Amino acid sequence: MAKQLVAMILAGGKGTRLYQLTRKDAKPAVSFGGKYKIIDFPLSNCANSGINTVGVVTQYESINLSTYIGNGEKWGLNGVGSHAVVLPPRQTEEGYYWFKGTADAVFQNLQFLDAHEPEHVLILSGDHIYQMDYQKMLEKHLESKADATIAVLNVTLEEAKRFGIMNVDKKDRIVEFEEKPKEPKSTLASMGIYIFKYKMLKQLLIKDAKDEVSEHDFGKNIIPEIIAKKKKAVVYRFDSYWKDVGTIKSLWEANMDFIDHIDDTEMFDFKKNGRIYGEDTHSVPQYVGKHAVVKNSVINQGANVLGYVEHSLISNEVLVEKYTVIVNSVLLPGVIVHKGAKIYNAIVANNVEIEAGRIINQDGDTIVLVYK
Amino acid sequence: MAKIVGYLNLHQSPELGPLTAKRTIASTSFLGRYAFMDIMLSNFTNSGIDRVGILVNQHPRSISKHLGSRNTWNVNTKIGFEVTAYNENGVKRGSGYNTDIANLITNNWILRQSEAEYVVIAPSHFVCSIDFRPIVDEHIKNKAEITMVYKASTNANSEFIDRDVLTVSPEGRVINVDRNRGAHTEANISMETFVINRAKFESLLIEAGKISPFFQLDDLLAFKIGGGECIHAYQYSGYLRCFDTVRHYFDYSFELLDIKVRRQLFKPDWPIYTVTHDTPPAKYGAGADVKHSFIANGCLIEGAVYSSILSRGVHVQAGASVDNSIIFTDSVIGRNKKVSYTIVDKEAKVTRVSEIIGHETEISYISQGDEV
Repeated sequence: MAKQLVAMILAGGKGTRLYQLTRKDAKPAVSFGGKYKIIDFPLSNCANSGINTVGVVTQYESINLSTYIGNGEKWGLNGVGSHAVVLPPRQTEEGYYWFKGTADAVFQNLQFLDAHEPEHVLILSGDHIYQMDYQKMLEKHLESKADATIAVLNVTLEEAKRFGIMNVDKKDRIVEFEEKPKEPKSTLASMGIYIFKYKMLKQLLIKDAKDEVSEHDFGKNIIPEIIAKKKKAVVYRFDSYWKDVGTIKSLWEANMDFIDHIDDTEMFDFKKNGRIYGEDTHSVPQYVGKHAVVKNSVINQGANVLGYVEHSLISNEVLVEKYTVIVNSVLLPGVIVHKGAKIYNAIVANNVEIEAGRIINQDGDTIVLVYK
Repeated sequence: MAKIVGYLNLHQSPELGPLTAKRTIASTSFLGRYAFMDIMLSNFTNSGIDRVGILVNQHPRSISKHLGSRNTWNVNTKIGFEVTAYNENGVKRGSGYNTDIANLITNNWILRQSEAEYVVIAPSHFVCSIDFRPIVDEHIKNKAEITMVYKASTNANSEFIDRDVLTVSPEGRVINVDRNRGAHTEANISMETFVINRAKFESLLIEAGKISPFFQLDDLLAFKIGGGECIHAYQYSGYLRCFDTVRHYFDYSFELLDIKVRRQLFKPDWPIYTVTHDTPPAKYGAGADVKHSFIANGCLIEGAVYSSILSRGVHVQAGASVDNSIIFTDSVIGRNKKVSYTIVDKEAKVTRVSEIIGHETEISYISQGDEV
């Protein structure tokens, strides 16, 4: 049955700047917000936007991620006609190739898209924290009769230097794309979220695959090609919370944002935008102890908090013993903090045990990652 | 593992006053995260029993609502099942006729469609962490046709009142069944948990119909013992509480705040499954002051919570204080309000009166959905 919109989530990234957090996990499988994995956000957005066919393109360390995606049940993507399918690189008649870039990752999975005959394809990244109704973006795409629609965020002029920037005319049509411009002409930053007419995209991808000098990247090759060919590309302006969590610092910041705004409907609205779905661990209820202090913090089920916790995020199965201090930190699932330990401005990786009395980053200005 | 059908028997469920006016204890909130039936259903699942019939005697709506897609306990698959058995005719004829035996006869297709060699029957009001595998093994080893599970209680004068007491011979046979009137501190309390060979079970059901339509399973077994039937007794020695009164509901729930008690029920290799609600983790605000409490996900705590149990989505507003209380799902404790020794049923709001004060010996109760 032909589908109006099928989503492809690019989840193959190694996430080198997350260091040990991605030693055995692809970046989208990194824990976030006390109970989620990063990929829960785009997957839940798809579910909440009524998109029932999602391909998850994996490559780097895909075992945990594939296991996690399963049949899509965690996001309600297992109903009749629904699919959440993991798409790793594979051997074909032509041979076997790693994905050479984001565009190549979709090119090598055209068979999946062809099977669903989509009119339009939504390309998403597996490493962004945000809630978005993709139907609204599709409406803009359809109203504009666009060949491509690119979601953009209005950033500051200074930030614009770090992003791919879209220069648009009065009707939001993209006239120029500049990657990390030194002197930005606009502040509309690409969020790496695209809707393409599938027929056109397929042609471009086939052509791009034959191009030996192409980096096979949406931002660097496909989007510039669309603009150069005078195809109609427009921007979709998004004005809610969005964060790329590619570094330890940005991952920490996004977690802190989550603590501060989880109950702030301007930023995270679980009623209006829908819940973020994911794995519900078989945990016992969270317990806060007789001498514990917990302020400005977010805690997940299964946590056992007996110490002092301020402005921190405590994941499931974490044990914070007595006489401990946890400030501005993110404890990922299974962390144990023994008596007397103090942790400041840190992300503590899954299942790490912090020895009694150890003091981490007390005067640190930078965010540290604590790992095994 | 032998082929087994497990029956969760709700026919003998005690009433917990106002708490069970619209629901059975099986679907009543436990520790802010579970319903009581989760415990025994998880015991079934963890024991490898993946064919389960739930014998519902009343409030089928509430049971269905909690069961949801019925795959929470990992049994509703192509190779396992979890079904509810409801005897509509028995309900129409009046409570005397609405017996567990009549329900089993009406819904005998559950057993007929399975190749089970044994049935295991257990209730939801006994809370315990019980592995049925060694019980079935012992049952087989003893060439028993019927095994009854009991616990040797040393508090039978104050607990397990009106439950069955077994007299066990030195050879481990049940030779008499009596009611516990609280006359003795020591008594072998029947856990209303039975292992029965299939053929024996089928013949018992036929026989029961001939004796009395009012016979419940425990009556029938007592009758058979009186007639010299050889029934094996299995002694269970772990954590066991019978949630049979509001008082016990209150006391036994709070007892589990103590880690030593909690560890007897919740074991690392024995997860307790429950339905997911995909609620975000709990948020503790700047004014939060939480001590010695269980907090479920989705809570927003801006006030004080001491020695209490909060279910999903409870909002304790700034300046409010909750102590020694159990607050059910989605209730609100308004600004500067005080709640003490109270059970606040779900979706209730304490926003008008300044305080709801119960007493250690006289627990207050706010009904579902009430705004006070």
